[in-house]
This record gives sequence, structure tokens and C-alpha cells, in this order.
Amino acid sequence: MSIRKNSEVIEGAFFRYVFNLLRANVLRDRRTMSLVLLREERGDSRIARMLKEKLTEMLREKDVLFETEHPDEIGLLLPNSGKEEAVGFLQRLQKVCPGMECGPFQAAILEVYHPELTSENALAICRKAMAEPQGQDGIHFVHVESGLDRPVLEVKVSILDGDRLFRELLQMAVERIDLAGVRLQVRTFADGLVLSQSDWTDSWHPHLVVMSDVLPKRNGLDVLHELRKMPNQEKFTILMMTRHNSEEDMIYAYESGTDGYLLKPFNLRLFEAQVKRMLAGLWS
Amino acid sequence: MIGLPIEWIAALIIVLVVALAVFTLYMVIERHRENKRTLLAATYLNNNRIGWYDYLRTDGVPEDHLIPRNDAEVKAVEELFRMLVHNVKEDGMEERISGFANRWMSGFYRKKLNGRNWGERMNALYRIYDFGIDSLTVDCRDMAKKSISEEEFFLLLLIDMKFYPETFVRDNLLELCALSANDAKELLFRMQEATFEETVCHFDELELTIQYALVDVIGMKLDATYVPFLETQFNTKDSELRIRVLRAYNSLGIVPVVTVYEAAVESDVWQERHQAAKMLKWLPQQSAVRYAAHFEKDDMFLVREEAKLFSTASSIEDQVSPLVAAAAEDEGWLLDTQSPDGKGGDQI
Repeated sequence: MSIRKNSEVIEGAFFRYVFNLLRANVLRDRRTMSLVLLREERGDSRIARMLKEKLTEMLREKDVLFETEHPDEIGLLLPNSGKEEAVGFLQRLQKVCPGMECGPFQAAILEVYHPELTSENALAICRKAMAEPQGQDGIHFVHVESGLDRPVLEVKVSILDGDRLFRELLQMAVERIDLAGVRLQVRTFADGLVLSQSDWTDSWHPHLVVMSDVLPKRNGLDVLHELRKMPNQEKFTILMMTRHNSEEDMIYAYESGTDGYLLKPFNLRLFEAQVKRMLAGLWS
Repeated sequence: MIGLPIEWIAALIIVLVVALAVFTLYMVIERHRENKRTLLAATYLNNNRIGWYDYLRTDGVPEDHLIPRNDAEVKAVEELFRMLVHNVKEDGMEERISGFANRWMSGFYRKKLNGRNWGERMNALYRIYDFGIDSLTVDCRDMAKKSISEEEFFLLLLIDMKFYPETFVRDNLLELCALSANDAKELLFRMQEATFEETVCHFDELELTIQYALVDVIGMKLDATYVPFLETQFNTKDSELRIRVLRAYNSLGIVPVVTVYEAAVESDVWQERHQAAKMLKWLPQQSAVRYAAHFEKDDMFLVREEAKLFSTASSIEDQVSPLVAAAAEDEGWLLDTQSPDGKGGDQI
């Protein structure tokens, strides 16, 4: 983690601009951002100034420090950080800032992941949660919710196997996976060539590919190489199925870019668990 | 020139045309029936795919509409089960497939077992094995008493081994000799551990071809617990068996005890020396260098090649030359490497 020496403190319209920019990145990269709003309860300007100075030293390069129209408030935008990371940050802050125990601070932590959550709304939600003074020294933080659900993520799933019945079985297993915030579009292919010739892989959607290594016309490894050569290949999560219990084959497949390996015959529950894990990892 | 009346030729042509028409009609009807069966099977699978999925993945009872009502539907269920057996391994699924097949499909396969079509009999035997239809084992044993092909015999043994593992060796030990080498290896490889151990105990009663296959399978299974058995078998006078024992040692990546290794090194059979040369890479370096020097003077070029390959691979060429010279001066050096009690591979 790179820490900059002294952070700039932004405010006003520039803060709104930066907030919107980072929120757009949140949606594109599916990486949660946290907004932390801190308020010094007694209005002691010395402690508030000391806190601001400490924060400018502690923040990572990608973090943003901002001021609001209220002089006793200071806020942070922590990209790629959920509420757990924000809590950890506040605990570190309390440890390294010796003046913190002198005055009571309130902090509200809000996760930002919805396109309709504006900076004004986010600050208002945080202030509402901090309405009651705590009156005790140290930082007292609360988690707040925006009331907006995480946007539903469309995920494409391609299943490639030469056996029609097995394709349908896997399709049913995948379609029955229920994950909040994820909507699956499943299609099956009898061969790698059919997938390559379709426009199914052209969209921006995150794409889970479950395929056998042996396919009639274009085999799984060829498809794997083709997908990994695509310019936006990061969107693909690829799970290979094989009958060959050969470490060499597995090493080659992993080196070629597969994300997981299943040895036939395999347990369907293991398959479902792997798919769930891969889908759960799409948002972080 | 033979003179045939024109009426005869006309009659022959008419008969042939009629025969052709009848044959064509038969083909069209058969094709139509086959298409109908395929359509019925596809419709059955399409209508019941969710029902089957729920039944096979949950511990329930099959709904009535899953029970096949005709041969086409039995074939559809067979296709589904075949796919599951080869691709999916889930708790309870094998038992559910076996239970369903025993209850609703055994009649179909019993009829096929007693049929005259060899292909259908073979298919029935494969499915009995794959789906675990133990209710047909008596029929299978009856079938084994009849005149059957080698392929059927092999499958019947597999079935017997699957359903009667405890008595398989007792009942079939003498039958094994009728198997080809490849079939014997496959059967031995598929054996459960207890059955395999029992077969090893009866090693001396086996035909030579089965003995060879058994030793090969020990190497294939990479099971080091049979090393003492291999050591015992090396005392045989049958050179082919000794070669296979050494090959099994090579597969296991284990160096035999010094008596066995030295016997292989000094053997008159070049294949034994060749196997011993292949083991150089498993030996402690100093011993390996000495043996490599010995093998490099062997009469058989394959043995010499193996020794050279070892010397090159381990980059010890520089060390070998002086040792070769030293070894040449000391003709009794091979015996010097033997441990006092003649045991322990690590003493080579």
C-alpha cells in the first residue's frame, strides 16, 4: 500500500465531482467504496486540526479527504474498501493519534455501491445517524445503510460439453443457484467452435465459462487460449472439466489461464460451490 | 451359349424387383419406427428432466411419470443414467440409480441378456455393471455357463467381481486364465483392495499370463506395500516374471534390496540388466556411478545407452571417468557393495 506524504483536502463542487467519478469506478470494477464522516462533538478546533493533519499523513494515494460546509466535520472516501476496512482504518487512527482520546468523535461509515446514491444523500444519511452525541472520549462509529440494494449484476454463463444431457444437467444446476444481486443468463454449447462463432462473448458482462477439455471441433484448451487473448479477457472466469487425472495437464491448463479444475466424475455440490464462490467474488 | 427362355428371365427379374421392393419397404418401416422411438425418448427426457433432476439430487421416491412405460423410454433413462455414471459422483446418487434400475429396468435387460443379438447382450452387461443391477446377477451367472464370447466373459467377470467381491477369487480363480493379458490387467486394476490382496495370496495358482499381469498391475497401482512380495517373486526361474518384477520396481521408484539388484546387474538376460540400469537414478550417487561404469561396458547397446543417459542427466561425467578407471582395477567391487546380511536396498 502506498501512502502519500500529505493529502490534499477537497471540498464543495470538486468533492461532488470526485465522488461521482469514484462511484462510477465502483460500478465498473465492482469494488465497494466506503464513505466515512467524522465529527468532533465538543467543537475543539485544536483536536479537529490535529486529526486532519494526522489523516493527511495516513491516507493511501487513492483515498480522498474532504471537508464539508460544517467546520467540525471531516470526511474520507476509501475506494476498494468495505465497512470492515473502514473500521480497521478508524481503529488504526485512534491508536496512532495520541490526542484522539481527549475528545469524543463520532464516525459514520457508509458503503457506496449504488448509482443513484449522490454525495449529498450520502452525507445526509451519515449525519442523521450521528444525530445523538455520545459524550465519551475516543471514536464511536456506526454503520449506516443507504437503503439502496446492491445493483443486480448480469452474469453470462456458458456451458460447453459434447454430451447434451450433461450440458442440460449443469444448466439446471447453475440456474438453481440463488445469489443476491446476481442474475444469470445461461447458454449451452456443444462445441467450442459454436461459442467462438457466436456473439455471446462480445458484451461487457462478467462471464463464467464451464467447459470440457475435449470437445468435437474446437477443444477446451483452444477456446481457453482464444478467450484469454481477447482484450477484455479479465471478465472471463473459466472452469475446466476433464477426465484426465494428469498433473501435467492441470499445470498446463492453469498456466494457460483456467481459474478452476474439475475431474470427471465430480460431485455436483462441489461444482455448485465453486460456481457460487466465483460469483460471490465478482463484488468485493 | 446357354439358351434361357425369356419367360424365366422375366420371372427372375420380377422376383428380384419384388424382393427389392419388400426390402425397401422393410427399411422404410424400420426407419420410421426408429425415428418414432427416438422422438419418444427425446420427448420423455424433455418432459421429465426437472423430475429426474429432483429425484436424483434429493432423497425422495420417483414420481409415476418417471417410470418408463416402453422400450424407447427405457433407452432414454439408460442414456440419462449412462451420462450420470460417467460424469457425476454424488452422495446417494449411485444408490438411487441402482434402486431405480433394479425396480424398473431389470426386465428390459433380462430380455436383452437372453436375446440372440450379441451387441444387445453386451450393452445389457455394460448397463448391469454401470447401474449396479444386482437383481440380474443370477441371470449373469447362468449366462456364463453358456457359450459366450471373450468380451461377454470379461464383462461377466467384472459383474461378478462387483457384486460378489468376497467370493470372487474362490469362484473365479481358474477362470482368470481364459482372459487376455490386457483384460486381465484391467480386471486386476479394477479390483477392490481386499480382493486384490486375496488374488496375490493365490499367486502360485495363477496361470503365467495372469501372474505377469498381476505384477504389472502392482507397478501401475504404485502400491509400495507389495515390495516384499515382489522381492519373493524375483527368486523365480522364469525370466519374464523377473523382468516384470524389476519393471514394477521401476514404476514404484523403489530400489530393490541389494541381493535382487545385484542379481539383475549380473543377469544373463539383457532385459533384466536394462531394468537395473533404469534404476540408476534411484540409487545413492556413489553406487550409481559405480554401476553406471559397469553398465557402460555391457554387451547390449540399450543397457549402455541407459547408463550413458543416466551419466549425462546427472551431470556426473567428470566423476565417472576416474571411478571407471578405479573400478576396472578392482574386479571384485560389485561384491564389496553387498551388505553383510544381504538385505536393505539403502546399502547398495
